Amino acid sequence: MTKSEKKERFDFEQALERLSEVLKELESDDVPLDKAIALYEEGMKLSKLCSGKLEEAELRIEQVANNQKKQHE
Amino acid sequence: MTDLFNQPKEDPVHILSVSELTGELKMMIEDHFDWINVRGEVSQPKTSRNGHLYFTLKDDTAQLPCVMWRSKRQSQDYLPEHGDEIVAAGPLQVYAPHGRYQMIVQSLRPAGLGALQQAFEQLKKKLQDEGLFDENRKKPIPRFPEVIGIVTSATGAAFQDMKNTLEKRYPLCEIRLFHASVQGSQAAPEISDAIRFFSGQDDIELLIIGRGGGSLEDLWAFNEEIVARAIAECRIPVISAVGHETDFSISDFVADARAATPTQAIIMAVPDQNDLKMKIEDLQMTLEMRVKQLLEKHKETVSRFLDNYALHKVRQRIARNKEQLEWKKQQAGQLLRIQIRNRHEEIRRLSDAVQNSVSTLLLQKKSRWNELHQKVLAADPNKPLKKGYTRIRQQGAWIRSSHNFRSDAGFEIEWSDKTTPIDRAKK
Repeated sequence: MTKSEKKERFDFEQALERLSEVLKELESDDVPLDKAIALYEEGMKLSKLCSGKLEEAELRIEQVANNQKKQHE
Repeated sequence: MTDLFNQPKEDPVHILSVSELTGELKMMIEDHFDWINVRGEVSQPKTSRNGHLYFTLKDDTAQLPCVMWRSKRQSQDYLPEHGDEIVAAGPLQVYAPHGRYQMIVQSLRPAGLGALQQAFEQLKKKLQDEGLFDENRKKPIPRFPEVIGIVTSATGAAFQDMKNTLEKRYPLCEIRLFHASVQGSQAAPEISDAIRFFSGQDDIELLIIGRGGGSLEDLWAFNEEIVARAIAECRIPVISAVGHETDFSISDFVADARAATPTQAIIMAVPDQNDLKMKIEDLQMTLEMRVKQLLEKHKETVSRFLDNYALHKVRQRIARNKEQLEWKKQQAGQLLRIQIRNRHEEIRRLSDAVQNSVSTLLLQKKSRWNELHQKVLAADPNKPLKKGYTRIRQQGAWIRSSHNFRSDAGFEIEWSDKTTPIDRAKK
């Protein structure tokens, strides 16, 4: 596994982890509104990041599969 | 032995009998005259019933009784007649019963040149009639003799000439000399003895008899019958080399080859080493050429053979083998292709499996993300406002419970589109 792959994987996993934490904080009763809004914004940002990573991964997998098909043909 | 010549005139004690005296004389005469040559005129030659020849040799003042025994007379080519001048050879013998001495003649020949020539012609005719000169009797001279026997005088120039010529011409050959007198009364018996000696030797391959030049009388030994017969009976080839260019001796006719001189005999007997060397070189060149020609010929034969039926069959077989090999190669190729295809299938399966597992993983991640995303969306603090609910803020804090609300203080009502402040003092 290359360094960049490691980094991406780490970022994705970390983002998911952080997203879980943000949710926990958001769901607690005593979170101040401003912080809740800030947490929400962070959560959305993290979610977008994860979504992007997933799309990128899907695309790469598709490319590899297509190359494989071409080679067999 | 009694000394007959130193006896006292009257010695009554020593008186000889006739037999004793004759015996003494016999010993003295026969010892002293064991071989002599006597010249004289033949008188009253008679052949007895036993075949012995009796005659008297005489000159003006003396006469000598002679006998030639039958064995010698029969082999004699020349027989004298009354009045012939001859030379007789042989020992003296005292014949006691008659109290006289006589000559036992072993050989005789006419005296004088004309007479010698006559004797020569007589013997030549006799031997020729016997077939001793016939070509079919003559033995071939060996080309490369290793040992040559020479019968000549050890002291004469002829032997030295032969030796020198041989050393220059063909030093590989060895010579063995049997010394014999080449003139005089002893010459003929010595020469014939030498010939017989060499004939009995196993390693002698060729015999040369001869001498240097001289008069007919000097060369006469080579015209004697005993020499001629010894040559004829000799087991090995004989070259006669009596040194006179034009005249022939009896030995020349009987011998297997005749050379004019002893030197010529060596030239005839052995090859010249220089000629041989040149010939060998020529032969080597010829051989090389011949071998090359043969090689070329064989090459052609091989080329022709390459096109023949047997080889055609071999070619067919090779072609069949090639086909079989090609077929096996194709089979092997097919097997390999099948194996490769199987490997491809395997790889495809594995890659599909990898893809599936990656897709599954991705789905799991997506699902997890989606779950969190939905929760984030659900946890939006402004979501109730969008549905028409309001929110109360008091002193900057979000009032979630009535317990936290202070009725004496001002507050703000928050809608989705705006915030309305409520001031308690106005009331």
